[in-house]
Amino acid sequence: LVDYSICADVSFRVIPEGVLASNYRARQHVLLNLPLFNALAGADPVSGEPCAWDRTWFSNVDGLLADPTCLRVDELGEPTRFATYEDAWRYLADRFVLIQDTAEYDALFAVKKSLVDRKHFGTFHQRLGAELRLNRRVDPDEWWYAQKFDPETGEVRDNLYKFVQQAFLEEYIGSLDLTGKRVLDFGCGAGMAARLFTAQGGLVTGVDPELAPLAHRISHRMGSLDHFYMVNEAKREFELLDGFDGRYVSPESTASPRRTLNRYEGTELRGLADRLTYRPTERDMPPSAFAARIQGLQPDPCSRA
Amino acid sequence: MSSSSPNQDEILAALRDFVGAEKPDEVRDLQNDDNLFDLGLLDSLQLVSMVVFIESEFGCALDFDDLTEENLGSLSAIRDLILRNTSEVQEFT
Repeated sequence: LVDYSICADVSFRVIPEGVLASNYRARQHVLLNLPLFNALAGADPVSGEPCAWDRTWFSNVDGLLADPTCLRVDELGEPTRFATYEDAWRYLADRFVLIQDTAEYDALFAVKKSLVDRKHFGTFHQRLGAELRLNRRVDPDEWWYAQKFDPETGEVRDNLYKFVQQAFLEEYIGSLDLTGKRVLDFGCGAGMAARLFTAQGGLVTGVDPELAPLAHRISHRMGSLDHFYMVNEAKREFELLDGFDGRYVSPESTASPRRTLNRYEGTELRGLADRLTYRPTERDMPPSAFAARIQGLQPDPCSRA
Repeated sequence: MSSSSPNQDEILAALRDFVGAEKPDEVRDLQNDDNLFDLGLLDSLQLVSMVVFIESEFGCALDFDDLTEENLGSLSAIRDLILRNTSEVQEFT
């Protein structure tokens, strides 16, 4: 280990198959066999050929927030065998178990400058985007909706994401008295927020540009609720904005204003979308950003700042 | 491109046309070694279209590991990437 040191972010765990080296900060996992681990740790040599298994994968592609650790747990395949320890150290350095330069390593933890920037790990969303677009060659938008909604029922799937979002919405909407208030839910999707507004006494109008077949099914079911209906067709924006006591803009709509506007392109709701979506600023960090999105329903902390 | 081995100039011309389709003015003075990212000529969506274009036009399958800034950063870098991948294909045919 002349040129390398074990990364301070790595922890080792003994499992029946060997020793699992996990760098949770870089989200990389390598399983080492005992000859390799003992050589790495400077312990008594164990006879046998040093080998390792790369146990990292981008697990989030199989479910929203399914498992952010990126640890593979399926069957072990063929290991990578090393003719020399120098080869092994290079392999481990490529996977951030070993590092050469701490400053260089720390510099990796920054946002990506482009989709193909390999010099920075990037944010979670950047990593997901690169994985989906470049590796799996799927459209992230389609992936997102497939992950979020069950095509059979139109409901939000029972995954961790749903429960995190639900808890968040309940915290902010559950304390509001909306009796008799008219609320515009912009980007209503399956109506997760709309149902809470309704439960608090609000009269909710949902708008959603996509999910047309889904939206119809949901609006039909929602018809059983007293105060929910969905505007799917074009409406002039003043008609929509006038007469509402408050408006809620879904996080999906504000997260990517350009994409949102593209979805409303060519409809009469384009102008409305332009007014309601905005690029969050630094002081818009959650949860104040969220509060700002339920504009008119409670004091806007951004405007008081 | 019908022939199995496009020459370097044909590749560069095709790439230039592709980038120029969206931004003809910017491409007029573009040098083959100019950085497409720095010049704002390839954003994320255009980059994905470019990858699809390369694969369909030149009949090569690009690996995830090939898709780096170094390999896609300039017209000449993309040309080299295409040549590397098409010659690998030819060795097996």
